[in-house]
Amino acid sequence: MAQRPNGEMVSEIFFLRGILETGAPQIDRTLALIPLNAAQAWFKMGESVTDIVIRASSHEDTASPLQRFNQALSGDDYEILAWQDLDPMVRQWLEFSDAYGLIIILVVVALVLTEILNTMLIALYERQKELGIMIAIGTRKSQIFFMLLIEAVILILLGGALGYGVGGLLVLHLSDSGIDLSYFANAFKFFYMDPVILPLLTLDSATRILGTTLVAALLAGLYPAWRATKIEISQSLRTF
Amino acid sequence: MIQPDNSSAIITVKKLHKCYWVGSMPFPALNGVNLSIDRGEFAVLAGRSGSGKSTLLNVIGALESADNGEVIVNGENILGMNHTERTLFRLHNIGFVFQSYNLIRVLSARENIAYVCQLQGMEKKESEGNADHWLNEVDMGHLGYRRPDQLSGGQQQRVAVARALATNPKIVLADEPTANLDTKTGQKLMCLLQQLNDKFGTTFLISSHDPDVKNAASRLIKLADGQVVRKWEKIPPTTPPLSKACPIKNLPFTQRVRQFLRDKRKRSSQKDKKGPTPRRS
Repeated sequence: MAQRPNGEMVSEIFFLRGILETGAPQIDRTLALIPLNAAQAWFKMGESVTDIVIRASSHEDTASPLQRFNQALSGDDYEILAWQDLDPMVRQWLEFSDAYGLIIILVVVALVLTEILNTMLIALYERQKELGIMIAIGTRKSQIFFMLLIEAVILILLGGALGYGVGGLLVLHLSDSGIDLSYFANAFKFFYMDPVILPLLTLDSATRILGTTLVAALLAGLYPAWRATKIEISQSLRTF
Repeated sequence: MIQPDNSSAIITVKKLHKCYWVGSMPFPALNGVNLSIDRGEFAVLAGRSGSGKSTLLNVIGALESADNGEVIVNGENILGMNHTERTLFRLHNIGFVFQSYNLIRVLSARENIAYVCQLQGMEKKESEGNADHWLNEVDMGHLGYRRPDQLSGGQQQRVAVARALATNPKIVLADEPTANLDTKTGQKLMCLLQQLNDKFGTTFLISSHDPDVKNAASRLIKLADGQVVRKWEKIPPTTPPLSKACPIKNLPFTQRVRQFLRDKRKRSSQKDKKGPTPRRS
């Protein structure tokens, strides 16, 4: 049963061809999809349509096409809306997702900072004598400082390369089948999400995370490197 | 910079005081040490543990600061230097030989020596050539590619000696260089140090309570409670060394002192036999 544009209430019988699950029970309960020509005939609309959806390659690339449509169709009786205005809730979910992603990155940075700081401080303790010898025989403290900083960067670059290698292989392996989280299907339905997550590794995300960890490594390397320059030579030479 | 005076002293220490603090408890290590070492000398600092030998060496070697006094090494007052100046001073003037060898364990013997050369500004190839030269000087040329943990104590100390001399220092400071070595290896090492002292004229200042090291000295300085309590002045050799290969074995310091005292006694007894010298009228 539906209402034609002139207000007339009409009903029609359709044969069920299949059930589509969107992942959102609210949508699945209230929405039925019929072919466009059947709808046009049913509502006596000829070839006209009420809504046109234009799909961009990425949800982030909508500003430019929106501007072009606004310019081309200005003055006509069209209402052109971006997806953000059309469905503010989805925008809110995406903003939430971005914030969540930022929190995860901050946690990663904190972990990297702690891990590198810990590793470097233990290494500094173990290498106190070696560094003391180096200073005693004529290595300047600035050279020691930069040596340790470079070591921290090398450590994170090697770790990063290893992590990206393993991660890349995993993404490659799961890119078709995805990660099936059907067990938690109810939770995903609440978030309008498909319980099968397809991992995607983009150059942008890779460089962003590597850049973040590199900066974190440098920050974490600063303190041990500074501590190394404060080594008491005669005392460190006595350590075994 | 203080210009060197006309004397041949390469190390001059005046009224040197140094005190360590453990909490609020003072532990005086040096109590007004006065000392002078000439260029090319092979001097030994002797004394019991805690007498201040190592502290004095560390202060002379610009590894530690002092509370008071003056330390002039190769014409430079090292107590007035900042950290970087001290580091550069050590690099260009001092070679160190430590009790526990103190080689960089992740580098081979050759790399340990080449490293200090590179710190002095040598190119990689030149520094490696220099390292090979010094390894041959200490008879370690065939073991240059071994890391310290693959070498015996004596071999490590030879590498440490080569590293100390590779930068062509004015002074080599050795803190208990034979303490971790067996007697034979210790004697061999002292022979080597003496030969290098003879060959290159480098000043050696060694702290030790090993009798063999004391015997090798051309001057012995005894420290007690942070003060110089006794000095044996340099004695010119009365007899030529029996063997050039190992002068310490054949002409130890004590033998030379004994010989000197015997000669002195002989001379005085001869004088006594002859009776009093007639006075000139």
